[in-house]
Parts: sequence; structure tokens; C-alpha cells
Amino acid sequence: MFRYSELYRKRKRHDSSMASQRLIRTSSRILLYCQSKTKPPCNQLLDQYTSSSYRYLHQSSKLLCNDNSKLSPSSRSNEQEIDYFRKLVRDSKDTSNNIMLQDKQDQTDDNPEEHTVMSHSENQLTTHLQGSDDIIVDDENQIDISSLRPAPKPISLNLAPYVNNSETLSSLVKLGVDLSKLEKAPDVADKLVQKDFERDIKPYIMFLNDNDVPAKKLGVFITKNPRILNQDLEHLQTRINYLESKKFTKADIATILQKAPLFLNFTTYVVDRKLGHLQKEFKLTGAQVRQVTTHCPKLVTWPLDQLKHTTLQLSDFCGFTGSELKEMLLLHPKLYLTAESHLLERFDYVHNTMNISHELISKYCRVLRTRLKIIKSRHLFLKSLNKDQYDPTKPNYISLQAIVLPYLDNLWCRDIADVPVQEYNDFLKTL
Amino acid sequence: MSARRVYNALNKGGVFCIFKPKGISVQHCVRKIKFNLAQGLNHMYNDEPLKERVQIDEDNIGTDLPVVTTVPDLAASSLVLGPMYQPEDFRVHYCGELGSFASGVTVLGIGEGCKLVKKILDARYIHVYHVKGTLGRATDNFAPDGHLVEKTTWNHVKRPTIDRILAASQALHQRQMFLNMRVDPQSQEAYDIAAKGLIRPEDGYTAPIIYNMKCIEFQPPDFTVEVHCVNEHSKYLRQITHNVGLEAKSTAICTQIRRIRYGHFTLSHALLDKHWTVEHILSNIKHCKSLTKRSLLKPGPNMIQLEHRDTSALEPGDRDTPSLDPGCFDAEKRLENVPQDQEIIKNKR
Repeated sequence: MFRYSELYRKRKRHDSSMASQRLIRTSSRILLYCQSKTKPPCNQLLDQYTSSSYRYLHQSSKLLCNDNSKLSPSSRSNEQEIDYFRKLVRDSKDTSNNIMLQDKQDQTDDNPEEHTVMSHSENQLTTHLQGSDDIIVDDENQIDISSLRPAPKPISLNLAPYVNNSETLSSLVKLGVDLSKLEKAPDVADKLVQKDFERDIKPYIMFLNDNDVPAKKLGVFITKNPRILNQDLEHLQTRINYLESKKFTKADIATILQKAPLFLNFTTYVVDRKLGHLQKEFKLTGAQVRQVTTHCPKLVTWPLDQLKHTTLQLSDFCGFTGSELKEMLLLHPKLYLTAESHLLERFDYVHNTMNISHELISKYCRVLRTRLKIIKSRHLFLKSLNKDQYDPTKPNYISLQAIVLPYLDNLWCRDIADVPVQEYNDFLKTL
Repeated sequence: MSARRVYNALNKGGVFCIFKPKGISVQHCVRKIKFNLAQGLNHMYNDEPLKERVQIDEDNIGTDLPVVTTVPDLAASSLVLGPMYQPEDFRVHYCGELGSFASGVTVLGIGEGCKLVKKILDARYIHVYHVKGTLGRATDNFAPDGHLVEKTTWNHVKRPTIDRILAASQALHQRQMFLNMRVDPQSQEAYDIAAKGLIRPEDGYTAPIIYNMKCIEFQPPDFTVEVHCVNEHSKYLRQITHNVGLEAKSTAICTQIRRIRYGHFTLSHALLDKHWTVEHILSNIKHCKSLTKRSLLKPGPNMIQLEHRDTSALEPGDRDTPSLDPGCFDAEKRLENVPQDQEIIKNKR
């Protein structure tokens, strides 16, 4: 069998033709920006893009300018800059074609300076290739590019080619950060490449360490929230101070950071609004707010609209009273993160088919977090055994909690249904 | 066992059989299985040696320190390149459609076993279904979730009525089989053909043919029909229920379709969805190996088109063994299967 992933992994490491395509896009973006707004200066703009792309462009710009030429990137007017970059884009297109043509050839004898042939803005045709005399340039800017070689991976679509050379990336990998997930967000990857580990990343690791995030979890933390490296450290400290001012203990804060790495990306204003909403909507005391937030900090990072919508579904569509909503929040706050469609169909089945009252459901609200398939099959099985007695006032009562125990089926059959698991499996095949 | 060895075993593959649950399509099941396999292998012990790369420390030239060293290649680690096994690495094909409304035995091929899938389809195995219906309602798609078209009384419908209707329908289909072969059903020729074995359609695109239909349970307004057929599809089975309702001077909708047998593959072979994991699938492949012997995949005697096919491709040893007619619903085989299922039904009630 052919393994696609192996091919993919190989391509990831030797990907240069597509990379040069991206270079064109990047530089065209710079060009457009230069045309629309002349600020900020192009050189600064270049800095914002990946360091490697910058290196590549810079190299080509050096090659582009004659030694005697006055057109150095730093000293020229805006119009000249625009001209310069337009040329750059055109030329990088040429180079990219060249790269694609030569991609299959042996790349070992690359000379990085042997790539770019550019024309001068004053129609002065120059070639700047060291150690190659066979390049022919005719009068109409047509260049024979047959002897050119591709650049050594100026830009890549992923981080893999840089890992061995970059200290930042290799240190992150050693920390346990999953770069294959980070590179899916291009802005994150671009910024990460430009960072210096000692200068830009170490303070954040120290900061997390100070807040009791264990060293083992640092990799997971940065994988889930790489954008924390772009935040201001002072702001992060302010957000921690805010939590402390709200009487969260240090252990609470450490739990919050581990459970919801995104928590620190929200400003104190937003966090305050959300905590206020929780307190007001469910009439919680301060201690209860802290308990809920520590238990399920995702309630704060969750979109507020969605939280309001779920509450509305539970109160208006399902008919839970305010005190029941509060009880459910304190018991199982994750319930409020459930997708509404799932929530409604589970409630519909439990309330209308299994005939269970609101009181019991709010007491054992974990049932609404269990997949409908499991509720259904276990209920029907108990029904086939005549054991579906969910009324606590009558004998042979089976609690709603027991149905949705996250047990393996063999343990569930032994403890709750009291039959061998084979019988349950046979039953499942009749559904 | 290392992940690589397990992957190779899966790659060598074979045929296995799952119980498709109601509510999801076969394609969805295949996607789920591929995902589970990739995840299972990624969590397994990986004995592949860590890749190394050569590093040349130019600063050390002239000193006693080593100039050429090998260091671990971080760029090849799974943190950089992503998980080792991806769902696309597994080739899984399925035998025939089973609509998302229906549930039951579905045969899948994995790896090299995908080639067997075509052969299983060509063998035209008989499929056995339990179709449940409810009298008194009619909907536009013959299923409970459709738009209600009509409501009727059903008190006059008794079990003999349904038996009569099913027997008449089955007789029509049997007659049709001979007509498809262009043989007079009342002739000696027809008798000879029937004595040889089952008459099968030439390909998978002809009209559905029913070989046997009978009511196995009648608790008005609910009834269950066992259907043995070839070339059917789930809408056709739902239509059968609807027609039974009309013939009984009432209306009916189909509430459940369950495939209990696919040729030799029965419910006992099928894997439940909680068992779609690496080890269960591997053991199931082993279990199903005996069901995909060449002798069992050989076309039956009365297959209209396939009998002209060159059988020399089959192994010489197999040619002498008597061809077991896989779809033949002889009395023994049916007795083997039906009581089991009825027991299960009893348990459920």
C-alpha cells in the first residue's frame, strides 16, 4: 500500500518550488502596500515578514544593485522604492520559474550566490554571478537562466527545514511544543521564526514557571496558546494580579492556566465582564464564582454570546428553573459548553422518552453531557431486562447517574445491569 | 508489537465485517475506522530508530574536540512533521451500500483485501434482512420521519393476511427469475435449472430479486418480515413494507431495517462500533479468512453471465472441491441463524 503520509513528510522537508510561489505573494503584498500607503517604509515592512524571506529578498536586492549604484534600499524616495519592489517581484517570479524548472536536479552543488540575475532600473544590464561566465543577457532584458540553481529553501510552507538550524525552534521542540500544529496558523509560524529563544521566549517560560505551570506541561501550553509569546509580559502580570485581587489562590491560578491556556490572552476588562455575567446570571456568591471558574475556566474563554445562548436553550426550551440552572452550573459547569443541538436532543430523549423529571435531570445533569447513543442503548437494554426503574421512591431504583457512568461496558454490565457483557453486545446488534 | 509490524499486517490486510449502526452512512464508518487505526498506531510503541544527522563543527578544527559528530535529527521528529500515521494511509473499501436508515452486517476490505471486495460483490451473495413495519400510517418516504400522508385503521389486519401477501409477492419474484433466464416456468428446463441451484441476476444493476419473505413476528400494529434478496437497496425494502400495508387494505411505515446476514458473514462475525480498534480488527480479519476462500467466492451454477467466465484462474485444488452455494437458503442454514435472532428479539421485548 502506498503511504501518503510518508510522501507528505518527504515533501515537507524538500519543498522549495511552492515556497518561492509564496515569496511572490508576499512581495506582491509589500508592493501593494507601498502603492496604497507609503508608510511605513518598505524596509520596516520587510522586517515584519519571515526572517528567511527577508534574507532572500535582501540578498537579491544586494545582487540587484550595482556596486556604484546609488539605489541602496535605505536611501531613496517612495517612488523609487515602488519601482524597486515592482522589479523585485518580477524578478522573483523569474527566479521562481527557474527554481521549479531545476527542482529535480541535484541540489548539492548549490552556490547560494549563483541565483539571481537582475536588470538595473536605468536599463543598465548587469550580471552578478560569481564563478559563472556563461550567462547571456540580451538587449530586451531576456536572460538565459539555464545555468542557474535554486536557492537553498528561502521560504518553506512549514517549519521543518528550519528546525535543525534555528536554536529557537529546536529548543521549543525539546520543550515538547508540537510545531506541526503551530504552523497551521501562518501568522504564528512567521512570528515564531523571527524570535530569539533567550531574548523573546525565555521570559515567558520563566513567567509560566513562576505561576506554577509544571515543566512537563509547558510544551502543551505553548502548543495550545502560542500567541502568548506575542503578548506583553507586563500585561500578563496585570492579568495574574487581577485574579489575585479577586481572591483566587495561587493554586487556583495554576489550575486555571493548565486547564485553559487561552485564559491569559483575555484582557482584565473582558475577564471581569465574563465573571460578572456568571455572577449576575446565576446569582452566585463570590466563592461560587471562584469555584466554577477554577473547575471549568473554559467558561471564561468561551464566547459570551454562546454561553448566553446555551443558558437560553436550557431555561426556555428545556424549561429548567433558575435555581436548577444554578445547581447544574455548580455541579457540572462543562454542561454549558455543550453544543446546543446535542443538548436539545439528549434532553428530549431523557425527558420525553425516559419520562424523567426536571428535578432528577438537574440533579444528575451529567446525563446531558453523555452521547445520545450511549443513553439510548443502555436505556433500551435496561428496558429489555425490565430494569428501567428510575423513580427513587420505588424499589429496584436505578439512578440516572448509573446509566451514564463512563465505565467500560463490561464493568457497567457487571455492576448495573447484572448480566454478562456478551448479552449486552448481542442486544446492541438488534438495534 | 511495534507500530510498523502492525501496520504491515494491516497492509497485508484481508476482509473484516462490521455492524453498521443506524443513523450513519457506510462512508462515515470507513472514515471512523481509518481514524481509529491511525490513532491506535500513533499511540503504539514505535521501534523505529531515531534519525540522526551529521554535524560539522568548524570551530573545533585544530583542537582535540571532534569535528564530525552525529546529532539527533529534530526535523524528523513527530513534533515537527506531525503524527507518523495518517488516516489516508489506510485503504478501506466496502461491499455495497447500506443506507444510513438501515443497520447491520457490512463487509469491508482493508489493504490487499480490497481486491477481494470486488470478488465478493461478483459472487452475488444473498442478503438477509429483518424489516420492521408499523400499520396505520403512511408517510412520503415510507419511514417514520417523513411527512404524514395518511392515517388508517389496522384492526382488521391479522397474521394470515400478511402471510398471504408475502407469499404471493415471493411467488411473483420466483416466476420473474425464470422469465429473466428466458425459460418457461412450467417446463422441464426450468425444473433442471432449479435443481442445480439458485438463479442469480447477472450484475448488480438489475432489479431487486426476492428469494424468500416471511413474517416472523406479528404484534399488531407492529410486524417483522424476514427478507432474503439480492440487488436490493434500503428504499426498496421500505417500499415492501408500504406495499404490504396497502395490500392489507391499510397503510404501513417501515421502522427498522437490519441486515442479519451477508452471504457467509453473520451477526456473530460483525464488530460493534466500540470494537473498531486495531486489535479487534486484526483478530476479525483472521476470523473472516475462512469465509473468503476461493471455493466460496466461485460463482454459483446458475449465474446468468458469470458462468461463462474462465475459471482457470482459480487454483487447481479448488476446482475439484464442490461449490458451496453461499447464498443458498437451505433449511439447515436458516435454522442456524433464525433462532439466535429470535432469542435476541425475545430478550429485547
